[in-house]
Amino acid sequence: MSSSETTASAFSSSDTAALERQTETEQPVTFEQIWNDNHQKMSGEWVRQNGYKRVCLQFPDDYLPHSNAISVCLRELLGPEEVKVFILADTTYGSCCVDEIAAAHVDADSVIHFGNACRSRATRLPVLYLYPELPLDLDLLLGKLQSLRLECTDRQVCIYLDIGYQHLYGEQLQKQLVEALQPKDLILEVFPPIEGDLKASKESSGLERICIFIGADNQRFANLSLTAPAAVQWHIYDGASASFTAKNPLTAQFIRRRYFHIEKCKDAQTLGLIVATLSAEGYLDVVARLQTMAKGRGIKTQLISVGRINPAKLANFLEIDCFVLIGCPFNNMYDSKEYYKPIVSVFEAEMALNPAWHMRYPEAYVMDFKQLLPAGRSFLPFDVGAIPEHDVSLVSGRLRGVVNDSLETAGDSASLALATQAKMSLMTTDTGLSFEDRTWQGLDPALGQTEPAQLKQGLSGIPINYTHQ
Amino acid sequence: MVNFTVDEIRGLMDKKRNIRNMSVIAHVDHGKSTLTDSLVSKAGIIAGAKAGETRFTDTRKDEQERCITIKSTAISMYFEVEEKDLVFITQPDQREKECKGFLINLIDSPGHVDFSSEVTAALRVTDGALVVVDCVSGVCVQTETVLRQAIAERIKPILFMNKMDRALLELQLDAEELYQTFQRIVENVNVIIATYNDDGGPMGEVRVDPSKGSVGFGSGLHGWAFTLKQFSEMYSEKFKIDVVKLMNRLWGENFFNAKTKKWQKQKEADNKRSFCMYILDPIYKVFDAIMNYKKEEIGTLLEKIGVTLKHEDKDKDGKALLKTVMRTWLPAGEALLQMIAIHLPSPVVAQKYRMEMLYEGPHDDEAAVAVKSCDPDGPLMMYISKMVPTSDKGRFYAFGRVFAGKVATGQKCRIMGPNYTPGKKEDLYEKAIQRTILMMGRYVEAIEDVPSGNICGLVGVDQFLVKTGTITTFKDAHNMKVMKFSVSPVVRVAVEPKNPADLPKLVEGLKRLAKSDPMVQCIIEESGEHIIAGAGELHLEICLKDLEEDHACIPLKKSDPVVSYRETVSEESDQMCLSKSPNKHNRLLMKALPMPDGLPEDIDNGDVSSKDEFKARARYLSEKYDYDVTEARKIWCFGPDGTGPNFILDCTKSVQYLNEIKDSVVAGFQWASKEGILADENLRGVRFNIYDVTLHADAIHRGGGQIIPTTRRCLYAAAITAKPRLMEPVYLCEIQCPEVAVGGIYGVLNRRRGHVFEENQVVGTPMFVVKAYLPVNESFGFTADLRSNTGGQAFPQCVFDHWQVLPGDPSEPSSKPYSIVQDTRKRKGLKEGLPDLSQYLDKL
Repeated sequence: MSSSETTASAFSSSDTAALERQTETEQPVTFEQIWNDNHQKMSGEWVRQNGYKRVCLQFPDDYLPHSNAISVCLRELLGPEEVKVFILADTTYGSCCVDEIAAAHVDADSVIHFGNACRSRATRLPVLYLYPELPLDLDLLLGKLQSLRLECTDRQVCIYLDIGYQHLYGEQLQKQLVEALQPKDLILEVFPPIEGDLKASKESSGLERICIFIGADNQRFANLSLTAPAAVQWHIYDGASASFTAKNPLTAQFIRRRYFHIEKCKDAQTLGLIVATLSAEGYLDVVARLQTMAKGRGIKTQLISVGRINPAKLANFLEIDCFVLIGCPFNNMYDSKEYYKPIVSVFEAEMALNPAWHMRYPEAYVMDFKQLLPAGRSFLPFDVGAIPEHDVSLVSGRLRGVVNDSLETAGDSASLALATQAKMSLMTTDTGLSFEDRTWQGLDPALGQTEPAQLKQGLSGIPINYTHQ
Repeated sequence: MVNFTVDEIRGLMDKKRNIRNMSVIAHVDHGKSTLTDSLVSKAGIIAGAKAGETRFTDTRKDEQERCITIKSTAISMYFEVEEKDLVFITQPDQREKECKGFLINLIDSPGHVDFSSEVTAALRVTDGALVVVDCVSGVCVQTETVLRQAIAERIKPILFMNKMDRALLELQLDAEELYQTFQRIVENVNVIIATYNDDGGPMGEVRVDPSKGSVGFGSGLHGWAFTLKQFSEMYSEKFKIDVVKLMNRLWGENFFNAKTKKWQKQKEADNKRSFCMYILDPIYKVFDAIMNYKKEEIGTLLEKIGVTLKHEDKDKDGKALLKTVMRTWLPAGEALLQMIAIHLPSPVVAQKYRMEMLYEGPHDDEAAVAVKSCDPDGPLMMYISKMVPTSDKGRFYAFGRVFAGKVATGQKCRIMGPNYTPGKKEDLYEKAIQRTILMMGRYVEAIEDVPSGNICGLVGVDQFLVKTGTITTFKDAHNMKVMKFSVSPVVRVAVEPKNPADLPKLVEGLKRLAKSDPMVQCIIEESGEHIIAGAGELHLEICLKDLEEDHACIPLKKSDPVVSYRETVSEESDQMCLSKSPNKHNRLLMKALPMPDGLPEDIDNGDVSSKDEFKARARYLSEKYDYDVTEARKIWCFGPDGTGPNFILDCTKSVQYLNEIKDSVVAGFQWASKEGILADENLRGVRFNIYDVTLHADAIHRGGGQIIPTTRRCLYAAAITAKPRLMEPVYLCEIQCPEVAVGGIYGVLNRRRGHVFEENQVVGTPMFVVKAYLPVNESFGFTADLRSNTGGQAFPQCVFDHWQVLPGDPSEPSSKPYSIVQDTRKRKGLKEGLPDLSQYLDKL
């Protein structure tokens, strides 16, 4: 379960980076799938009705070949009204987020977003999401599903449509599916959900569940299987190849693996908060919340933003023990071994730092950090007082805990005066270095050993006017 | 009925010269706990008749059921020593004037090698050791191990020959044979002592000597014991010889001719060895009379030895009568008590020479001086050696020894963990002691305060310590030295809850388990596995049981035991390995090569360490391992964790900015040496040389981000090109068995890739001792296998001994190392297959 970054090349600065970057390969789309009459109508009306004048079209990488044609088409469509149309590529963080910053560069007043979307609510600009309309052989699907009929009796079946099949969603499909499977209860949904939460997670029927994802084994499936409530079986129906496979969702073992990182996060002396979104609503609140929680545990935080993350960029922060990635739901799990220090999601950081999560086992993963904020579904209040004073780390085997302030620093004021900033740190880390442990601390300033230079009148003006030459 | 009170004990605690802190140590099944009962019964805690059967110090249910000791247990006892015996205590620091009462703090320790960490913890807090040896099986491997540990900790030993009843009743040895057996055991023990102790050293002479009274004989099970002193006292009036002089005559090459009434130094036809004549003969006669139901003889014999039977014992016969008679005649408690009081050192005596072994700080600071003089008015110095579970789940008593000062309920103390360094705040807490308590086997008693020289438990400090630590009131105190265990946790199992939602409970349980055992390691691995690592199968079995029943209280799934491997290289890299940084502006050139034999062990033992002065270290390396001195001076660091048995060495010539990237290279090296290229296991015995470095002129382009991942890649490339190999842990396995079973042992060992390197007969017995090396990986089920192949006659003791290269090339798909690597990768959730050199190696 890692995003495209797992295999990302290590190049950070050269031009080849963009070319060599491997993105998750979606099925190649045809022009008709992403820009048919429906799409045209929808976007035309949206722009006209709202009277937008500068519209940005944002495409994921694999749609770019069609981008020009679409923009020309849209311009023709809107013809008489003087609407300017711009083409944007995806953001530095991923193609699912709306790039409001780039849009702001051209002073746009609206964005039409193509392809897969995380639907993190954008705060600055109105956005219209246009999804591809992928073809699906319904008869074939229903035929394949019948093999499951026996198991579905007495169980609740949840069928999730991948975003590309959204156009199929409706009463009729639901009926057909019920007929094919004859379950006790059937929920049909689109993932990611258009509005708010998944229906299935809101109401629990008390029945065992079978989940079927109609789409491909992609990032969205990974997200879905983590966030959806536990099910006894998972199946994927791949719309393109018409194959039907049982799939082991990322469950107990995955969560145990992540527990290691959570444990590392608890051990950290310094947390790096990586902001990997600049548009998702509430990211600043999350930062503030994480900072309070870390402070309560005596953990220092550093706020960083490095664009698309890669191992080389993060390894520059030698003193940070663990990173928390604040990104959209489809871009916050990094499990790669290439990274020098572990990266956890906001949810995992919450589990590590918020004492309310002590002894609690997550029923499902929370990918969307908004849910962890007050008013969110998975919000648990943070209480500094509840932080256990001491705890043994199962990674290092050492004791960790808040250092009590009553303990006076060793030595008198004289030694304090000499202490460097780093000396004041509460504890030294077990794995990483703290600055004072570095052997190289920069050039020796030789303070007090060199004669101060005399103040002299300098040169002024532009070189051509210098008088002394 | 308890015939002493806490107040009495508290009173005695101040009389530090009358305190004896001692542990009972021995090979498994030599009868420690049973013997301890004799003392406990003398103290009146358990009824005398039950002594030898209850095993008072085995407090756990499974200990009682399995009849083995698992945890060491402490008990404080109060005894009075008679005036006539007090004169034997000659050293002024060994007894208070005008005080007959003695306080004995005894720790009974487990004998099974898997639990020897408990022994280590017990030895640390005591000054003397009662070494129990089964006189039938003699000195065994574990006897030697614990004795060696005791000497290293400067613990004075006394010896007890147990199970004399077996020698007489089962083996039917005649007196001379038995004497020879005793003599041999004494010699064996003294050889071990002489090997590890220097007579001229601070502890002085610690040899055991029957004629001095520091060797006891008897049977813990039957509750009788004696030293030469007892018999000497009986005969001294008759012979009109001083007791001490007579004791000398009763052991060794002293023969008495009954006809001429002369003492002789040589065996002759009509004389007899004094030990046999005066000591063994009467005992043999009593045994013979009672076991052969010679009614009349019994009567006269009893009169002679001055035993009058109580009314209720008159009807007994056979073994029961034998027990009663022997117990009344030669009460074990009395003999042991005298041995302990006379021959074991008081804290005042012991701390004088133990301080320098115990204290990390300067030997003349306030704390050191107070420890040295056992000063109850000095600053508090207490060492916590282990945690004892309380009835309150998840809470522990911190058990330890007060070396100086006083520890009191409510006192504010500094609690320092093993990672504390003076002047820093890491691992340091300042808290009040909630309560001080006295540990009495299965009971605890609250006590107001405890002065120096005593052993006690503390309530309320457990959460500030992981397993061990130092408690002090002295602000500038250093730590007491951490204990060095003789076993390592090499056997591991992965556990997971049956119900995934119980995971948090498992994690909590593991934390408690980690605390409750001095040795066990509970770790979460990157693979998400929760690992419990212990010394052996039995140790793990007990830990898992405790975890499931007491600590986590959830049903668990357990993996089969696995061992952890190490990665190493077998040759020098066949090419210079070059890796470029992500921005292509920095280049590193390195090679890997194996360390010479013995060097990794030297690093393990701390003979070569990161803390050494670099010139001294270089000299050592060049003298012992032929390293180039100038190169050896430029070891950048050890790894993993800064101390491990690998290092990276700077062989570059005048590279610009090199010192700037050192930290990044070190970080990359720590990373790569912790997670090796083959199976993500630690590296062992690998030396990396950096030959050349090209760096970008701008500091920003040669920062950690560029160098750390590159170092790692370069190290991996160097390892791949140096013929990487796997190493596996190997047990030293000692098996005792009769000759007929030796063949079976060879068979079992051969099947398990073990090999025998020593085989010899235990002199004077039909028993053979076979010593073999056995890969830990092959040891699972070994004990059971061995027993079934030898008719239950062979009993192995396995101790981790060394790491050994697993023959075979891990890159050869048909080899064993290959399958191990692939299994490990799979278990850890890594990509299966072989590492691809091209991923790590760049072209110029």
